[in-house]
Amino acid sequence: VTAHFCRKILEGVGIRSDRLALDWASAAEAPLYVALITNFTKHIKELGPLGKADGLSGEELSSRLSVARSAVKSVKLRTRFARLTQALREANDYSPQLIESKMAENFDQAILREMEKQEKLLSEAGVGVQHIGESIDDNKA
Amino acid sequence: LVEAGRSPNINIITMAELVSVAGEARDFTAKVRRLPRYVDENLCTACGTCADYCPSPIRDDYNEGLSFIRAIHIDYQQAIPPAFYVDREACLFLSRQECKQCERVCLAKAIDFKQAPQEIHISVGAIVLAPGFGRIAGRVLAKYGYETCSDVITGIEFERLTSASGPTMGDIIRPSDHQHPKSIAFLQCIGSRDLASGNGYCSSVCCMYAIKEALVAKEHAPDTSIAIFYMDMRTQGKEFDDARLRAKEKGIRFVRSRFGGIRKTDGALEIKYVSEEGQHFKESFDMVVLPEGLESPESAASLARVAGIELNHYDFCKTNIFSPLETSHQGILVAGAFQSPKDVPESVIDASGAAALVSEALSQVRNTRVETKIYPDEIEIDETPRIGVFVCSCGSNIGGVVDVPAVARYAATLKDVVFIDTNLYSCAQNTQELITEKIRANGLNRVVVAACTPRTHEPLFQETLKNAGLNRALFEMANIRDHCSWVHSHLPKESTEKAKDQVRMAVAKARLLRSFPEQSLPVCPRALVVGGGISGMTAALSIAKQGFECFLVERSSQLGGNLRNICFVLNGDDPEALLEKTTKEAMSNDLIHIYTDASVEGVSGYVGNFTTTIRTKEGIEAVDHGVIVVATGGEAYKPTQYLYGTSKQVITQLELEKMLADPDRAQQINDIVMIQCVGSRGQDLSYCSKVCCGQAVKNALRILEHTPLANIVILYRDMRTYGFMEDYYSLSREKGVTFIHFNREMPPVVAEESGKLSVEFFDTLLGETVVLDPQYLVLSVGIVPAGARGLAKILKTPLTKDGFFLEAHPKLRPVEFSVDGIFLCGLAHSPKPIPESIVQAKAAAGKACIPLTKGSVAVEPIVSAVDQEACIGCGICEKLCPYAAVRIVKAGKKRKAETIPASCKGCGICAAHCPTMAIYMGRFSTEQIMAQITACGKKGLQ
Repeated sequence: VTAHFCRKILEGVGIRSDRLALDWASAAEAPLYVALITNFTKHIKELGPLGKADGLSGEELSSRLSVARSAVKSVKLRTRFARLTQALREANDYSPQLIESKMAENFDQAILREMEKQEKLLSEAGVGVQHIGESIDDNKA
Repeated sequence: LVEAGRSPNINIITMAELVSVAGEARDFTAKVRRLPRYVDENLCTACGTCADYCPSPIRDDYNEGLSFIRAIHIDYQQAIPPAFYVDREACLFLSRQECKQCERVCLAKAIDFKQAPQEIHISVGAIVLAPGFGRIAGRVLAKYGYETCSDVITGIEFERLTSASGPTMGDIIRPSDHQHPKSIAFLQCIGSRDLASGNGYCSSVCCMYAIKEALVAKEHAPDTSIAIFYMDMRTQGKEFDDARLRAKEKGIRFVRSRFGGIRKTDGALEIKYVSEEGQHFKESFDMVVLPEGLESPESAASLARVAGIELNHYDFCKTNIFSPLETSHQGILVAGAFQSPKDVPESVIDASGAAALVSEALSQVRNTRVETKIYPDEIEIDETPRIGVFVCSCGSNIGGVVDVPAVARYAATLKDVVFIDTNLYSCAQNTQELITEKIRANGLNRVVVAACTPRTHEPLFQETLKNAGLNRALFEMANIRDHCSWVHSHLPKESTEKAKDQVRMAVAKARLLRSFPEQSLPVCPRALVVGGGISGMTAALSIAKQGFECFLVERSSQLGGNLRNICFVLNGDDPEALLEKTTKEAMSNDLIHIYTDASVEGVSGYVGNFTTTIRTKEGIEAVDHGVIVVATGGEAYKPTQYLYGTSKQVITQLELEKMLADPDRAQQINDIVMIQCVGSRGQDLSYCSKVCCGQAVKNALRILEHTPLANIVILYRDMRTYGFMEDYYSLSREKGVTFIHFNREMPPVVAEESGKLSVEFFDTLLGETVVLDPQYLVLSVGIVPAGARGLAKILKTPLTKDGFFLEAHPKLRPVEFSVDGIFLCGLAHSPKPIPESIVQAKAAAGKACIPLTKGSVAVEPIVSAVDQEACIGCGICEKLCPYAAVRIVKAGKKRKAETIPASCKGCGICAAHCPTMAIYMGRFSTEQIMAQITACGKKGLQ
């Protein structure tokens, strides 16, 4: 669910969702872990640097990322996200199919709406500056 | 292992053997001979340089001799004590007075060839014997081609082959040509259930471990064709049958057969076997695995002599069936496979049970000889970080690859770093003291150690901080060994750069670390036991004997539970006497308060501070207590199949047992058919009820005592008379009981016509359908949990799909729940015979008394905390917490979440799901993690 949530948000700001990988490997699965890391590294190298490869300027990229970050912090979305986790736990079924269908049911649309809202907020100059400021602060910290 | 190694009250004496025991219970003197290690445990840091230089290779016992190590070695990375040792025979110096390379290269000066054998006298109150199991003799394995065919390997060797840390790093290859086997055969009952080998008993664990290994092999290479040749599949443990079904689904073949011989053919191994129908077959495999049974330990005879204990006829420790952990020598206890062949969960249960018995015996002198550490008072710290960075060389382990001085110089340039130092071995005792001094002298208030892994060493350095008067939460580690020098050993320059990155990240996080108040919460020194059967009574008695008050709640009008229905047991002991003795003891113990006709209405609180409402006929009472033991038990499955309830001739085993207890009625019984697995294993219940096979054999033998020529036919799926119970199974066969196997798909058919009962079934050996008309048809019905669902809801503890209580970990924590302070035993956990229930009850009581004995619950500095301002009281955290460690409380008019620090494990599920991000994780806050990530991307910047 977490991965799905993040991927949707990345897509929303125009970043390829395959730049995020989430997988499981136990301590006894060293070869699997190596394969996961090697493949992901190879894949990201092929894609090229974040932003540049997709034709985004540094400024554009950082504003988009701050939209994404705000969206992840949104109480509305986080509530839906948590409710969804709870539903999966109650059903005791974590199959990708169920996650997909549950997400489509009442989550995907909400993500899109939230992203629009955040973008709008950002485009209103004052707020935008504040957000960019925030992200710079974060980087400095 | 790490916990045992770290406890100040466990003195681990390795390379030692017990020489003699003098004195009596509560006052023994044990003489122990300790062989020289030739390495000083206190100085050795397990860096491994000595082994790099040691010229003498030996076979690696830990890997079953499948690989080579050096004469100076450590069994495996995590071994306790973490120190190398010298193999006496292989060492060139000890055998030929030459070499001593290790002594020259050891920078820690830990090698000491002057060490000599020592004799130590230890005065103790009780002794626990846990020597484990021995190995099946080579001559037995030889029958299966082990010595002549290199591709015939034991199950334990196969286990090492599948292990990622094994000799092939988890690659399953044939010893002969190093190719992956395309087909593997597992032959069961190697050195078990085999009178020719001298072992008439069943080793209990081999069926299950063969299935596990087969599943692992399938995971490695799904195309491998695997067959398991067996007599009876004995997967009687909790949820073991599920594993067997999974294996079947994965295409693993289960072949009920008798082994006939093995021979090497061209590049393969040919097995001869006789099928159930009596036909002969030959089949070829690339590899043959012998999942060998468990033999009595090699040291059994000498141990018995030294400790003055008796052995049984298979050289395992002799114990009474109703006190399975006590040897014939009072005060000397036994745990694990030396008691009888058993698996990990049962061994762990034994161990906790033995600890409870020790605690019972020594409760008078508790805390008289324990060591507690005293730390200096904590220093108030300034908000401005003053960070000290210590970079470790780990001998040459890190320093050989990473440029340690360069990393330290780099650390000095980082913001807020006021002190740097490098150490040869940061973890060495004297270095620890130096670090303590340096923290004090330089007024450090945050400490970063760049060394090995926090998994093993964080607690050690946190201890160092405490010794310097710093809060242990003010510590951060950068693992520049595992992540740099080990994985990039061929890239020194890059490793050094990466180490710098890691130090920068650790410093970024350290800057934001805050003190975490050391909390410890008081514990109410009383226990609640729910269920008054043999498990509940045993647990209550053990808790009382350990010196604590106990409330025992029983739903019916009298104590005893299912034991009240048992009239006799296999070995002839008297269960009625056990019932009477235990009940009497429980009723007469002043520390036990018994509530009959009572139920638990509600439970609130957490470990150390529970309040429970008990409803009885007299009314309602609320009691305060620190821990809970769940022993709600089970009950007989009520059959509807096979005309039970319709025909008077159809009865259950318990009903037969009642009849047999009456000598007059017993003599009239002479013609019986029994059907096994009624309700169990895929009928109404998916699981095996574990006790019914033994019960059927018990009743059959009892009938034959009265009427030696009685006709008894037992229709079964797999006879699961595991362990020493197998003796009685063999005996019943000798005495003329007929055992006929049936498949789940073809159960017997029971009919009644004009008052006459008939049982029709297919006899595979004859290849014919047989019809019998017995005097009685006896159904071996399974066990179902009793009252689990209601209590589980009240306690917020999970259940298995079959409705039994789900323990915290099936193997490692078999009597605990994931929720702290609640423990589990008896049939409420899973079906099991009386001795296993007794041991588990002891184990639960032993575990339950840990917080009671300590008197307080310590809180780790990683627990979550809720920002009450930001919390909106949505309750998501409360619902998602796997440990019931978050609760919603009323704060004025609003609802707010609150962490129960005593129960919190710091997993972070609550924080990750909090809609308003109001939950702060100790030492892993969002700001701290973000600071680390940001620092990662800021090379050379500050």
